[in-house]
Amino acid sequence: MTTAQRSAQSRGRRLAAQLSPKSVATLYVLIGLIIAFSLWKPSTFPEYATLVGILQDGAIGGLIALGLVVPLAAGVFDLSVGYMLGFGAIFAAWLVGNTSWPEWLVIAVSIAACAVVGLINGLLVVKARISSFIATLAMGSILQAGIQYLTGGQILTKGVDRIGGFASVNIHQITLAPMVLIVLAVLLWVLMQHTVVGRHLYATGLGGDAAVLAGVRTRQLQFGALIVSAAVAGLAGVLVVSNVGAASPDTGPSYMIPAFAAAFLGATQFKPGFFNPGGTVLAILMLQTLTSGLALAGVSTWVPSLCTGVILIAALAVGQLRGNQLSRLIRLRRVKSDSAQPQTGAEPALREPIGAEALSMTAPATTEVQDVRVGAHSPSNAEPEERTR
Amino acid sequence: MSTAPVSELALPGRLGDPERSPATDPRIDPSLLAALATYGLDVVGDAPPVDRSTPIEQVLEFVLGVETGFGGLYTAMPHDFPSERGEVELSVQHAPGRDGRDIPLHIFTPAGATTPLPCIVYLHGGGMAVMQTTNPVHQQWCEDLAATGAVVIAVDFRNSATAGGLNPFPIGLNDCSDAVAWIHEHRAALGIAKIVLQGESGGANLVLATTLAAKRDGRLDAIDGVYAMVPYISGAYRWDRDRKLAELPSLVENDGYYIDCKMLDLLVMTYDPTGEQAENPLAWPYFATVEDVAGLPPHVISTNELDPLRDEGMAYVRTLRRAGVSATGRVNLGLVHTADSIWGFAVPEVYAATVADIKRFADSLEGTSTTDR
Repeated sequence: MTTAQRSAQSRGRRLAAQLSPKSVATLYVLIGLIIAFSLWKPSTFPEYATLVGILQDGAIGGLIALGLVVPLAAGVFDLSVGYMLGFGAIFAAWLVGNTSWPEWLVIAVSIAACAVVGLINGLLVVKARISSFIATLAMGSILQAGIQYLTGGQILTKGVDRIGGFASVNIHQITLAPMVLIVLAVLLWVLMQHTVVGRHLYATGLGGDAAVLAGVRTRQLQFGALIVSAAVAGLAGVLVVSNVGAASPDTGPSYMIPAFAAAFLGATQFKPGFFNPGGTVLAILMLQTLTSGLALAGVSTWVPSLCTGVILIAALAVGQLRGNQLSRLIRLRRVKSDSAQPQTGAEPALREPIGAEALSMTAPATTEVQDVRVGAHSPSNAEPEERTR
Repeated sequence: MSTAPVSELALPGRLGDPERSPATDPRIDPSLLAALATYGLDVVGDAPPVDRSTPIEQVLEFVLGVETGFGGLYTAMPHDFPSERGEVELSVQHAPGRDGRDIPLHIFTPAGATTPLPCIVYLHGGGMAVMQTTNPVHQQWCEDLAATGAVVIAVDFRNSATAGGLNPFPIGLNDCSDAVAWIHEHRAALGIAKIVLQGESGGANLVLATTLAAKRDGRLDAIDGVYAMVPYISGAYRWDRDRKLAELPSLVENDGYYIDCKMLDLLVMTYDPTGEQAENPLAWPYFATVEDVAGLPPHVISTNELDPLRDEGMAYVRTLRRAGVSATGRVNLGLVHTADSIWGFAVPEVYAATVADIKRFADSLEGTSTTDR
């Protein structure tokens, strides 16, 4: 056998492994959904307009989900992204209505404002060492207050058509938001899977001790990750405003659960157990196809929300069965940990879990909060003696 | 509402029995009922999943879904009536809009027309928010009108709800006003004599509002007559029940018959997202005063008995008459909203009578001669 043949064979094996149902089950679910909806609603579903609608409607949630992948990979939650999107949207709409700034400046300032809020999130989590779950949840409430202050509870439309122009840019009716999504996905894929920063990000998420011992600047990475998720949410907010031509004070929160569902489902795909941009994009496509298909089929409106919730839980359940990053982020482990116990391979210090309850958006009981360890805690916090504090 | 000791069942529609629907309302035309039932529209549907408390982008998404639904319905309806129709030629021209956008005009001319004909400027329905100028139902309507011996110009004004975002009031209205001004300037070139504005539902709103705006701008010479069918002009669909009963009881009586107030209110939200135009007669002509309408050209306002919008159309007739404007009011018994034009296949006699009456109205007008200006 020649080298070329061998290398072709191994490439084939690698491709086969990547396309195996174990690696990309979501892809097969997506294909199954497309077939099922096409049979169910042959006159409306298999149309170009449906594809455009799915890409358009999924793009904003997809952006939020991609933004979330970064802090999640680094082991911190950002629960402020929903209100962050709303704040970005309202701030941009308010600026065009109340200033004569050029459009590019409005857009830049709105995204920058969200990045600054992300920086405050970073300070709270990394410097003040508040659980990222609680700190970003609280920040969401503060952002909501800002939204109400700027809008007085009213929809903003004044001057918004000024930033509407760039949303109407389209290629075969596919607008800017899906294009931005693809660009961001590629950027994150390169950053996270082909650079040192990406490896360090994953190392940070896998566990402070090992990463720190390996010289990774975990705190800086978590700090930066929260700025990235905030800026991406701000960008998504600006896109919403320019797409719609108006901004509602209640825009935002509804994007959060689907985004988390996509990020967690995405972490079971391609690189099972690791939050990754490719899996996230695949997951958002599947989730949006399901939601849009059900809407076209005219099912009751509670069904899509139910499906999203069930998928999120299922993704968590699957993730629990596997080792590594995902399980350590979602499983509520026993806090007791014997550091002397030999650990294997890439999981030397998987001991900063966060409660699965956290994701259900119900406030965790105080005792659980004390038990919860998030990656944001410095390695010293993760020492066994500290845990019982 | 106070309970009346007399049988409430004597009251019409859902005033007498909240459970009533087109299927159980004894007033409905049986052949229309059969047609509605074919599409499952003979019963009162579920309330929309979104309302005013929903973020505007989700309202927009829902409204675009409504457009897809109605678009599919309009495409699925039979289009093979009436059997005899004269040949009509279609051309497209553009009128310059005030914001630099050219407004497409779809011009339907009867084949072989030589002498100047009356012109019917058609503004399609869809709550000023949705529906396309070129769907098969609107297309057929224009052809049938043109075949009576008129030049029909369908104005492709901008809808308030589009996949590219909102175009709130007055964007669509300005398109209509600019199109009418251009048509008026080109009467001779277009081979037209009198200009009648005609539209149903949201199109009727734009017809009436364009006329009110023309008066304000001193451009009434562009409009010789107005034919507004089942006008959607109050924006009052979220009023509380008591105010509806006191002012526009058909909003309660026929709510959910083919169209329902909750859905209409979402269309209102795309046309006036902030609610600041709620009583502006250019957005909602129901609020026009006697002074606003004084001096307008002759109007025909038609309403349908089983339409939630019936009473706002009737109210407009009364305002016109109080101002001394020539106003004919018509009620089509037993029909739901827009059945006289959109559901013509189910009630072809009413459809034919309506088409003929629009031509009759156009011919009856004094009109401007083609040689002036």
